[in-house]
Amino acid sequence: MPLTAATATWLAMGTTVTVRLAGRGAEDGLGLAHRRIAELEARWSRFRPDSDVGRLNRAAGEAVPVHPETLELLDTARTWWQVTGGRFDPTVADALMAAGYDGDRAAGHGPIGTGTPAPGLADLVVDRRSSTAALPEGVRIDLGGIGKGRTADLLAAELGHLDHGLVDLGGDLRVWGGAPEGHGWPVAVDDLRDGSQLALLGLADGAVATSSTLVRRWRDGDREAHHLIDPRTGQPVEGEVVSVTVVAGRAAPAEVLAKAGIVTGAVEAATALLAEHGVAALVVPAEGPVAVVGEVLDLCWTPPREVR
Amino acid sequence: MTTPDPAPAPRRRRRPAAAGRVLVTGAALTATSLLVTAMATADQPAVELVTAAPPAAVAPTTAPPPPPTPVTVVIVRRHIITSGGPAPARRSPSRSVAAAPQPSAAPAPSAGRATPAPRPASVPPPAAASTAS
Repeated sequence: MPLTAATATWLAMGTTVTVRLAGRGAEDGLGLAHRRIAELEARWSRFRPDSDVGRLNRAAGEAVPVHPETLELLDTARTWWQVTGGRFDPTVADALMAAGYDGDRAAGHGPIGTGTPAPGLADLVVDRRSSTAALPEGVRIDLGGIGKGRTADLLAAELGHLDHGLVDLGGDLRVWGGAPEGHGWPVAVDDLRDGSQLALLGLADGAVATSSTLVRRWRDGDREAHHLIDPRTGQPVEGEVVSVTVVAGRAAPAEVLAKAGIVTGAVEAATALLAEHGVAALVVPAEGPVAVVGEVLDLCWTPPREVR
Repeated sequence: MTTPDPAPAPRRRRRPAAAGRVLVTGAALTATSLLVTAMATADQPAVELVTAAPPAAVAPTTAPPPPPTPVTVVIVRRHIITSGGPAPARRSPSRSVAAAPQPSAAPAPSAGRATPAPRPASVPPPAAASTAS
């Protein structure tokens, strides 16, 4: 009996989404993926004034009723903010806008200004009894990155009964069951320094996320900026590391740790941080060989040409 | 014969190092007081005020009863701050690096591990790319 397979690609969450499913009920699974992604985007997009995040950002300190999935995401974001020592910080939204980034690539970018350090999530209030959340006045959040990772993880859980699956939200990837062709899922990691392929991963199950200062860059006169903000300074990250790819079991932590690795700045410090969290990773400096973390080479069908 | 007056003992000049020490001590005191203030703030319990009516009088009295006095019940929720936890956020509009938390001593949530797949004899083309975000 032939395996039922279904694939779709569409635009959502400000990026290109691809879902590949195989197994009994794959087509229904695709419909579920479509509905859930639309639902979660409507809750977590900061560009939608009626989303949970949009209302939270405008509430100026008042408690706002939000969906339980939003409460959970906020709690998760705060936990990662704490355990990464603030290197992952979703309150960089204002600094990002000050740097000229508006999140909508079609609309271009504004002038490059000077951001301020991110206020952090210490005063975030999450009340599960009343299903409300509150941010201090003047604090705004952007859950775009961790939200995409969490979406991939939720879909993997809800569609995990299917034999094979791949959920790709603009590079935040979650796969399970290997590819329907009978081998693992081949996932390319690009070397953004020269456009070549850095490595080819072969995964049965897991998640991959990459963050880089070499994409989403823009100029304003003689100044140049990018979209990864150091929460400690409020300025675009300036460090030795230009790209971090994290391979883990779940996509949200992979996304968070890839960002935290970039913000850490130096190769040795970034590899230490990632090793501490038990993930496999490729840490790419501006020049020279790639640093490997954990058992990442065991996950590569084609490893990087040169590693340190 | 007159005895010459003894030469006046040279006055010891105050050494600049002493001023340095004072400054250092002052800075240490300031740091200590900041730390104490921060600890006091961190340890400040969240207080929730609940106002309730007093219990009804049991025995009737001839004199008119005094107007009911609201009873204030104070529910204290003390947040336990473990060492190494996040620093309290500054509430002033001027934001600084101090807002970043110290890495938490609490165990980090697990990121899980990916499962490798055996490399096939012929490596297939990528099914997806981890494009940078």
